[in-house]
Amino acid sequence: MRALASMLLFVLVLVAFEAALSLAPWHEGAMAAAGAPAVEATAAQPGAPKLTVADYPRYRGFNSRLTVWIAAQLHLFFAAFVLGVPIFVLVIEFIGWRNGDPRYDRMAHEFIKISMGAFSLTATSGGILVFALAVFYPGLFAYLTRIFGPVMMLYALLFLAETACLYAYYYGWDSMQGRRKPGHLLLGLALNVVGTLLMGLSNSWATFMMAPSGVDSQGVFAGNVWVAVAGPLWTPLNVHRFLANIAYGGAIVGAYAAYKFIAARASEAKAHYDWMGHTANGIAVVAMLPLPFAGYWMTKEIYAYSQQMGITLMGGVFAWLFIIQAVLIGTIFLAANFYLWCGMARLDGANRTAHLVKYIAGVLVICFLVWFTPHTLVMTARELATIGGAYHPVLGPLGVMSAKNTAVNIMILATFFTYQLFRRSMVHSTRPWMARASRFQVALYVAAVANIIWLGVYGYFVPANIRIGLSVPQVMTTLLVIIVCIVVDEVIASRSKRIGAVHWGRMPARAQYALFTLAVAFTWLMGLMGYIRSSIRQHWHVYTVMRDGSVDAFTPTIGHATAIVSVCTLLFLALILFVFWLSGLSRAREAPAGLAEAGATP
Amino acid sequence: MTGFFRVATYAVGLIGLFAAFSHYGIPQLVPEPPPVEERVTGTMTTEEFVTVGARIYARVCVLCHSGLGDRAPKLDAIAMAWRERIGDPRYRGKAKNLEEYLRESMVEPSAYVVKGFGKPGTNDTESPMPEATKGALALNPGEIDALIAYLQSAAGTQVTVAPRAGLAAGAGRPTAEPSIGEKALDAVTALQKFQCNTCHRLPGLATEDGAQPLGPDLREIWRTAANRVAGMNARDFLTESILFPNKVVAKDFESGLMPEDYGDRMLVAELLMIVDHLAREH
Ligand code: HEC
Ligand code: HEC
Ligand code: HEM
Repeated sequence: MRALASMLLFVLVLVAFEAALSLAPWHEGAMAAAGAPAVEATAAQPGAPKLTVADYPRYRGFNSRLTVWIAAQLHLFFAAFVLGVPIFVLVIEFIGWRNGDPRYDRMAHEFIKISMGAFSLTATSGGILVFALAVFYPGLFAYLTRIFGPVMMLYALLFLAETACLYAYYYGWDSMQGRRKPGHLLLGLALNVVGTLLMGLSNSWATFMMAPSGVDSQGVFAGNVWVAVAGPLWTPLNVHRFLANIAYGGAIVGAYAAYKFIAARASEAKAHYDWMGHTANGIAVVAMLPLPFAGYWMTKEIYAYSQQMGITLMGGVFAWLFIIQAVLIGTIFLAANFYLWCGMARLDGANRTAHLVKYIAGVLVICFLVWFTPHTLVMTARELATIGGAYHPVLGPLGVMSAKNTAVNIMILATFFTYQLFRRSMVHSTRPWMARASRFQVALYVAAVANIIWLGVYGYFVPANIRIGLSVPQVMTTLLVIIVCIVVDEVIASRSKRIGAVHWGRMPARAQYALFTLAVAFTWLMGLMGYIRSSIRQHWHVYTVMRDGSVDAFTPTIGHATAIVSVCTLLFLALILFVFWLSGLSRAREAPAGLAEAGATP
Repeated sequence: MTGFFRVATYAVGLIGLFAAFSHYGIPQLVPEPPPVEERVTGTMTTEEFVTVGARIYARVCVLCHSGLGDRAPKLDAIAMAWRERIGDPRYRGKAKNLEEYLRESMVEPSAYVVKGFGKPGTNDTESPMPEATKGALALNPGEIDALIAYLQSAAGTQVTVAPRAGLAAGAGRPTAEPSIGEKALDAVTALQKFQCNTCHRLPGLATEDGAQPLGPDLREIWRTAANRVAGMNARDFLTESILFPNKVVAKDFESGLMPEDYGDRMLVAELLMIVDHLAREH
């Protein structure tokens, strides 16, 4: 029944897409029909149209910009979710297949089931977005389709393939067990490859609008779609979104698990959903650790593309949005850590390290404050007068990139350290070399933090262009520690006895609220960043090439923008709740007995 | 079920917190409206000309040239510095005097890149400054002249450029088509420019007594505009009435009288000013 409904929806979306695509050739056809010889027609091929207010249809009761904004944001939420989930589902399924533990397989299956429901909403919201764009912004839509027509066709085809893969992957889950598992895994891989391509293609429209390539200064398209797709910001955005989608998927299924945990009565079910929540939190955290770096890389590319856009972003009115971003990301880091600390209650052996928690919390808070401190936040003379000065006399120096990078790196290390404590509490070092290995790890942390701080301080004594380069060794240090520690931990874990059991389900309810916090903050953050991304174009549809001539071309105040972000978040959460509820209707199998006492290290 | 409500309340509360922080924890600056083309006419005095330049400078150039951070060199000492610049072996331009140097710096920024300010990795051969006549800035020649006048005046040297009439509009800025004419500077002039007063009584404009006007009296429209059409606030209603006059026809008036082509003839800024003016209490 549900499959049928989704198929129907899909056909609807395709029809909408076709209709939308036909708009572009239609425009050109009209021009060719005017009787110009073919050669002249190409020579006179118009660039980006210059639009006036009259080119934007207005419909009573609809604010064009808000309609498109909300439709686009909801579509992004759903798309990010349904693209992120299959990535870690595949990994979990693979792990389950290698270690033969059926619980992994079941969890992966349950995760993908949640995203199935969201899939039809992705298609629906996408259809609404295309429709809204074509109706409210016909000029822009026609221009984009003229350039990206073939890419959009490919997109539609890939969407078809994505649907096919997803349905086969999901409905084939139970029948493709045992000997046919590798086939199923390959199917999952295909699903993810197609999904990632899909994301890349749609990202290209967004990055083209920010940093157009393949067109000249008048917006005349040179004819090579690939050049238009692979613009200067395309790769960084792809990377940032790929990671963010995984983290986002983790955060949302974490909320699902938390909700189920609270609702569950039987201790088996509680254990199952606790484990699920723990895994989801782990996914969100691990995918989030490299995000700041991906974010800085994207920013660097924005500066390289246009210093003006970069400064508008980080040093103009939009800079205030990054204060909000910092608060959100700080919330996410603290919530994730809080959850990990609560998780120590599941362990018998954790008491040894519990006292460290307060120090980690302190480090996190201090780093957060440094990161949060703005450096310069002023764009125009008018703002300078409003705010009354650009640098804070005391805090100003903390706002420099050097200090921020240092803080972020230490925050990441601290979070990883928490995670490591949790894992190490489950094993008992029996041999002397293990104690030595642990001491080595401690020394590594100390050296790494010293190195990161030293690089940060050194940054104050060198010119800006060298300072930027220093962030690389800082990141490398952090990554090195993480990788080495994971390897050492694996070796120790594989050679030693586990002590105590993990009491899955022995988790306070307030820890579940940390998972809710993660989901809400992530959704809101995403809405905020999506807004930043599209609003730094300011009064341009396509930066420097096609001006926004509508009455909505102005930049709203932060209060207004974030109110819309809040509305989008509420809408999304309401819809996703509906999806959870739907997937609850087709009864999840309860977790088997015995999990509550199992000692697995997920 | 109570569990559900508790979770929902928590989520809504958290969203509310984020929204409240963004409202009250962050200054609510009103960002600059989209730039409109500055028009320079031959009859301007030098003072007016410099003022136009100052306005453009504040809107466009201060972003980078404010002296904050390491964004761009400050321009206050340029009257002294330019000789050094053109004497530098790295100089690749053709400027012979300050005016030429300033123009060149805007139109062809890479002709000379101030040490330490080049694009990263180009060893100061490429300037990160956008070409002022193109792309995102797209200033017209008159605006460039005005900027030069302002920079010269700010640097305390003689202003050597004079306003020239009839300069072509800049590329990429669609606002001013020739038929649109000069941008009106305030709402009342805009209303006069489009001769709204031939058919309407308007706030802020003296009314000629005599014949009954063809269109409704708009002096009091701010009282009712918000309630005229369900789902439209005052500004939306006014915008709609001006751009598409025959969509909502006022009671007791004929449709088809009011011109329908204001959308093509008006600059966005003018429309916004008129709407603001009519929607404001008088
Ligand atoms: C995106 C940032 C940015 C914007 C916007 C910008 N500039 Fe620049 N400008 C720079 C940078 C960086 C330099 C130094 C590199 C160079 O010499 O080209 C510079 C150099 C200059 C110079 C030469 C300075 C010297 O000491 O020789 C002048 C003159 C100048 N800009 C004028 C302007 C004017 C006028 C505007 C406004 C229309 C403007 N700039 C807008 C970044 C900017
Ligand atoms: C040729 C005469 C004419 C001119 C010129 C004209 N209008 Fe009108 N206008 C009318 C008439 C007749 C109506 C009433 C019929 C209608 O609503 O279309 C009207 C209606 C309106 C309304 C809606 C009033 C209501 O109560 O519904 C507004 C607002 C308005 N005009 C504004 C303007 C502005 C601003 C201009 C100048 C840019 C302008 N008009 C120029 C004739 C004119
Ligand atoms: C821990 C750090 C970070 C987290 C958790 C994070 C998270 C996110 C998330 C969830 C999105 C939405 C992705 C999507 O729509 O698919 C996003 C987008 C974005 N991020 Fe980050 N980010 C981080 C760091 C940064 C940094 C440091 C910057 C730049 C200074 C940055 C710049 C952006 C931009 C511009 C977008 C818009 C992309 C878009 O939606 O089109 N991010 N980020």
